[in-house]
Amino acid sequence: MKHPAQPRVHIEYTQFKLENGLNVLVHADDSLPIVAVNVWYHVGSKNERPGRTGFAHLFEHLMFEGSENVPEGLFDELLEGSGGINNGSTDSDRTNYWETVPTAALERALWLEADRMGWLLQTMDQEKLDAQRSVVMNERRESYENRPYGMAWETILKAVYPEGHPYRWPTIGSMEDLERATLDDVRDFFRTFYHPRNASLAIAGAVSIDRVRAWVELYFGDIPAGAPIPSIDVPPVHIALEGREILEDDVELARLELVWVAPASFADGDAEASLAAEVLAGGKSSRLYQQLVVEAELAEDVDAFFEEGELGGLFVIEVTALPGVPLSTLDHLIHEEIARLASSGPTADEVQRALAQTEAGFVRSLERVGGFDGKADRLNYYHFTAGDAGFIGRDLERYQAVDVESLRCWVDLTLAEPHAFGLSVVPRGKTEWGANAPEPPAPFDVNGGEG
Amino acid sequence: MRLSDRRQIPPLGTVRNVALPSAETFCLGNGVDVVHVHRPDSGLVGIEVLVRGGASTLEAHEAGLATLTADLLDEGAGVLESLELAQAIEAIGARMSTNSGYDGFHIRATAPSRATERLIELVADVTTRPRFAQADFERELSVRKARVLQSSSDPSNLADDAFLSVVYGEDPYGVPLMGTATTLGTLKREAVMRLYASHFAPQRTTLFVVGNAARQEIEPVLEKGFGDWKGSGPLRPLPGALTPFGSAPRIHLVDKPGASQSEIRVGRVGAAPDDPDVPSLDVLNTLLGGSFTSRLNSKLREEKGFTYGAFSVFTDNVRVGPFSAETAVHTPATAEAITDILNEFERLRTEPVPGDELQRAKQYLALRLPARFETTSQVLEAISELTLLSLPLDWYSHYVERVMAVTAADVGRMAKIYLDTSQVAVVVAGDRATIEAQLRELDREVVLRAP
Repeated sequence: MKHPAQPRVHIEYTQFKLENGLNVLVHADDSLPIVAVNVWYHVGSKNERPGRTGFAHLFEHLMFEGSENVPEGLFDELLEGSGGINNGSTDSDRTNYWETVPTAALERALWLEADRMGWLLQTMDQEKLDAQRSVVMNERRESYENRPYGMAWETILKAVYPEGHPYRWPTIGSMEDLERATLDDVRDFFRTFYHPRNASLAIAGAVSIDRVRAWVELYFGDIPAGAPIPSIDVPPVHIALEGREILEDDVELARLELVWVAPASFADGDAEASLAAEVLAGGKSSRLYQQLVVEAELAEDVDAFFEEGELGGLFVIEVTALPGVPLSTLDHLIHEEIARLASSGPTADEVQRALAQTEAGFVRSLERVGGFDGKADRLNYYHFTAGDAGFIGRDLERYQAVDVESLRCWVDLTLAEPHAFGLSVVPRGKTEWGANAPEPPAPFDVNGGEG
Repeated sequence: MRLSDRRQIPPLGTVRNVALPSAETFCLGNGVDVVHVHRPDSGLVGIEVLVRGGASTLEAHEAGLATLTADLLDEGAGVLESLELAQAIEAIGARMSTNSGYDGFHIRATAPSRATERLIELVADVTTRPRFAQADFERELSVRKARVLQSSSDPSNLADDAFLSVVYGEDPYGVPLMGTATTLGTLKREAVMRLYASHFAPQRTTLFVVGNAARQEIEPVLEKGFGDWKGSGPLRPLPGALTPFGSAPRIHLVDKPGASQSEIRVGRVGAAPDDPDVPSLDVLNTLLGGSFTSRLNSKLREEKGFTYGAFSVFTDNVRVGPFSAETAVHTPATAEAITDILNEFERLRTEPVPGDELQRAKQYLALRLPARFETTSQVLEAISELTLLSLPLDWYSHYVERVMAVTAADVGRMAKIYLDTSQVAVVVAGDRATIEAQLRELDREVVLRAP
């Protein structure tokens, strides 16, 4: 049900395609004399195979080390000397690269992106591979192994996703697989995934469309199209029974991560899942925060989020216990609250607040042309994930269409059923603080009801 | 048009300098200063309340009291109890944070523009009429104690806390903002209320508003919210000047058994914010560790593969903030990484910076300026920081010319003072069993430090 005064969002853009299949999106914004250049390649860790995990991300690192016409080191030196910043990221579905530069440096940014899209392998060598392999191994240590709770996510993925599922391994990969990566792997990967047909280029900022069109054609036009990328097998994901695992770590406070299988990006229920996360544990007025942190004083903090994915999502509730509080107590209380929400639904006020926060999130991201989740990134995101670069308005409308009943129904169908996986991360020697699986269900449910 | 030579670096176009958003200042009836930046096209409003003082007015045994007081400001204010206040903030799509740093309290909030008036009301209540309810105090204290406990297992926090303590000794800048188990142990609500009364007064407060509302629209709302406020006092005196000094050249080792990486900090007390040499220091810092192509990052990450990243920073505090070079390296490489860092200090101290490298650093700082003030939050934080540091609001309008005028001799002069390796301390949080022996082979005294 739409309220007449609901906000709208929109990013005005021009779209065209080069002969080689490169999709180009251009948004003009002359608030500041800057421009964001953003390239998405439709490849992520889901396109890897066991034995070569972490490769898409390792490859991302190699994209910064020089190409045929750009000597090693020049990429960052040139951008910095032109007043630009740049970065990239890899997730399970895609790899993105961006730079935000003064408009005066737009041609340079396009030159750099085109050269590494078309001519990366000419200067690729073992030394570059070995150097970046070391960097990525350190990234794994710094962001995961040497960080409290850092290994939780990897453990969850292995428990939830079956063998052969492309989301089963973390994007950072394993140390063993990183060791195994060879130069031939690098060449194969580039040829398979890094070409115009599998890419989208978004430009947002103080630009003239005609100038952009001319430069894009000039720099990217000669790159061969490339072949369609191989399809991947995606086994069904179904948490048949409530499962629990306990992981010991260098932590002082125990933490419970509860995970449910959730809809894929933009599939039915995706908007309900996001708003349910807000209602359950979004801010201080949320159900679980009030219950577990404020009233019962059992938790230091609680959070809920919807982890998106093209192939499917995960709904996560994360609660950190105060010292001495068993995670089984929190596990039980969370399930009770979910049951309440599933039977009586949220209040209209709760839905309104969740929606207000979501709408504000859209407005915040539209303040920037560049960076992660800025306007250029958003255009590419919608192009790949929704099949339509202009989807942002309809994206917001999907949230605005969620009401008390549709949210209640989603919670009832997804969260209230006994199909969660729970990981307890506990201090070393304190496995008794971990949460164990609830009582097994009646015998006829044992095989999870598939087929 | 065809590209004749892809090896040619495209030229830089005409760089357009922008005037940074100009600010208007006025005063409310009770003496509170207001700094207003009118951005007619903005979809968001940002408000900050800055109250001078913060943790630097605390005695050592009070560590943690300022940040705890800040945490409690939005736990109920005016007629709204804790839950009601959270609901009111979330219902308008707002985000609010209440913090204390070493030099002041910061209440920051943003929301979609249409909520401007309501946001001002809520911020005014939080600033002038926090409830400090007993139950909220007890809960926040217990959560704080849990967080301090958790932080003791994070090697990055261990290194940060130890570094500040080593560099500042007994000065309040060396005391952990979050407090310790000891200092938090016997805290009472009355201490929070007294600290609030001893800081929060119109004469110590500046308001910042950035958004699409004009002065005549917001001034009456600000008067209504803040105009009657007197504060109760007596006010704690603000701390006196700190004379810059060096550190003894020791290695302070905090044991983190089993750590796969060592967290390293190398540094000393830095410069005052109004030091006329700040532009030269910015250039020096960019060269050393303030960009991806910096000496430290190039050596430790790109060349040696020891780390995911290394950087350096001069932190701006009101009196004199710290200067530090920071990185997390693979454990076996700890001693070599420290040697490399000190060598890079020496190189900048003794060898003139090559012209192209110097030019690149200057252009990075100068040409990047417009993109630094794109969003509401960026503008808000910039004007708040200038005010806190007693710098003029038009400080950035001369920044580009000052930076471009910096010479290699200027950089050398700064390096001789700040990169003198006999005047910097080294702090390491890592696995003592593996690294102590290699550290003792370095040309410095090694001191073991309790976490």
